[in-house]
Amino acid sequence: MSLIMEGLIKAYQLLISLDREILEVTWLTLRVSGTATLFSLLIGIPLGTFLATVVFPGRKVLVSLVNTGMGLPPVVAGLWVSILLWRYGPLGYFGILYTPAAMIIAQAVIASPIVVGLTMAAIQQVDPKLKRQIVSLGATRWQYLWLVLREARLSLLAAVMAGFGAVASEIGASMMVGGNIKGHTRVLTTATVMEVQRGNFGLAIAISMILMVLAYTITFVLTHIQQEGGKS
Amino acid sequence: MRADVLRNPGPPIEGGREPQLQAVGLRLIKGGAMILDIDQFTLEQGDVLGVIGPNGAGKSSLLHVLALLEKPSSGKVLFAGQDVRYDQRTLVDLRRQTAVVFQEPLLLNTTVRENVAAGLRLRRLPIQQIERQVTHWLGRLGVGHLESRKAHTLSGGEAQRVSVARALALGPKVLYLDEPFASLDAPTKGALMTDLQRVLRETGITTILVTHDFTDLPYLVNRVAVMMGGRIVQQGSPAEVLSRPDSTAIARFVGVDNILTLGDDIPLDSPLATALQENNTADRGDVVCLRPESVTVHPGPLNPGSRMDDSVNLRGAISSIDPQGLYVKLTGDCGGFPIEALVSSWEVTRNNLQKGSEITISLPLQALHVLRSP
Repeated sequence: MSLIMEGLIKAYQLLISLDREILEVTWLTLRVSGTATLFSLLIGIPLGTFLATVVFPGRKVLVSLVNTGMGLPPVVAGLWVSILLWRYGPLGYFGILYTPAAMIIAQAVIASPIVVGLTMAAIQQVDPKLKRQIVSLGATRWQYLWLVLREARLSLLAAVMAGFGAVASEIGASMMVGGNIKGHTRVLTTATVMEVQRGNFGLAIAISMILMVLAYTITFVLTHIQQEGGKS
Repeated sequence: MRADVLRNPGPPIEGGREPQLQAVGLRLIKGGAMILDIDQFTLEQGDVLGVIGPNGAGKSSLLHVLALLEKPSSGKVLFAGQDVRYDQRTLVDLRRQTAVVFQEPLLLNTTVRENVAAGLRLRRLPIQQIERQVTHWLGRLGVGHLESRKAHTLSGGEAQRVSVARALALGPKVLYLDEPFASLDAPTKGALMTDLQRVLRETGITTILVTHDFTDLPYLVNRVAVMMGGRIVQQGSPAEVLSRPDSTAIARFVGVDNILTLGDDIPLDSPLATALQENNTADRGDVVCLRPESVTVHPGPLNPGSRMDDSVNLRGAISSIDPQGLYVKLTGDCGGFPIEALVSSWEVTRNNLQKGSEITISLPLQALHVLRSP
């Protein structure tokens, strides 16, 4: 119990004193996971839309692959991205292993299948009769997709939340491709693990609290937008 | 409503118009079943066609094929005389000359105003023109005051009005209405039908109305096509189809309750049989059809003054009374065969008609429709 109290007090102190290091770590977490989510949306929404609306041979194989990918262990994603970015790996030329860029790539790999899968589901949930009405209004192929996506926008926000939630909370990939380098690739999750290993439980709890508050705040904002959109 | 069924002739038919929509050798096969099988179909400009038929007759499938929302298995559709090619560009181009209202309002999750503007925006019309048309049609359909409301906060009737306004705002050459009143309660339906009727008469938009309710027809349409089993089995004016059905199946569907075979149901010595045989209008084995609205019921025996030459009068007694809303369906036993009559509840009260009451039933000869046995 005293441990938790100690953690809460520590967290309060860190936040109040605007601890420079903690702020940097928090800001990097936001930047890396936010950018990764953005990339996963750029990849996932078009791909999910394609899989939901176009029938082609092999579609089921691809859909199953996406569904498996939604549960992709971050460690596995981290491992493969590491191998690719290794100095002597296929993409080693860029020399971005152990940089925030590598973390963004790994996290985008984790979030993309989630966004693809949820986008697919969101589009398939739009009433087929409404889709027919959109066609009858004289929509071209692109206008049709745009209107259907707009109808599915509340479910798409769920995809954004799920994607961001998954990458902001993962640790395996960030550790593997980022390396938890102080002032460079340290994010809230890797910092928490490190402090636990050092025996600084109070600090670990404090950092985890900040992560939770961060995740909650972002989800709250998105949920607010979603619910307002559904209601008013 | 019932009593008006035969009286309202609908918009006048003009001669020499261009065909707006045609179909030739149309077949639609789904899962091995023949959904549509139509040799010839023509809809002329300005026609308001009612398509009626029982569930599963293929009415909605026909509408979807004609609205270019579904490709037929074989055969062709001609739009304004031109063969429809099923490529994306042609389809979008032609669909932009049409509008469809379905049974459900199917509004987009946005404001009422944006919904009515939706189709116009897809056509990339100038903003001012869109605003003008949207305002006009919101007003015409009586939903102008709802323009900033979100679509899903509307009642069923309001939403369907918005859906109709959205369709009319497109200024379509052909308007397709797929059971647009089926989910509405009676007063809501009546009000929307009145408004729609006015708009159709003023604009002269070529229209196809699919409905399972034959009482909708006389209000809105000038032509009727009856569908059964994927085929068009009869076409004509509402009065023709409702009073002179081509078969007993059609007769039953359009509410002709009196379908009697001469010599079988009607004894050959009945005054009705005599009258029919005298005029040589019917022989033994022919089927006599008569709408219940055309039957007049008099209490007791008929006094000589009210006897009419063009009617057959039958003495009998009421065998059942079945209230149907504002009307009452009476069944009279007229010497061995039943005749059904639809009369107002007021008449029943005034004449104190009860089960077993002595009555005289008048059948106007002109209203009798005979289906000759083959």
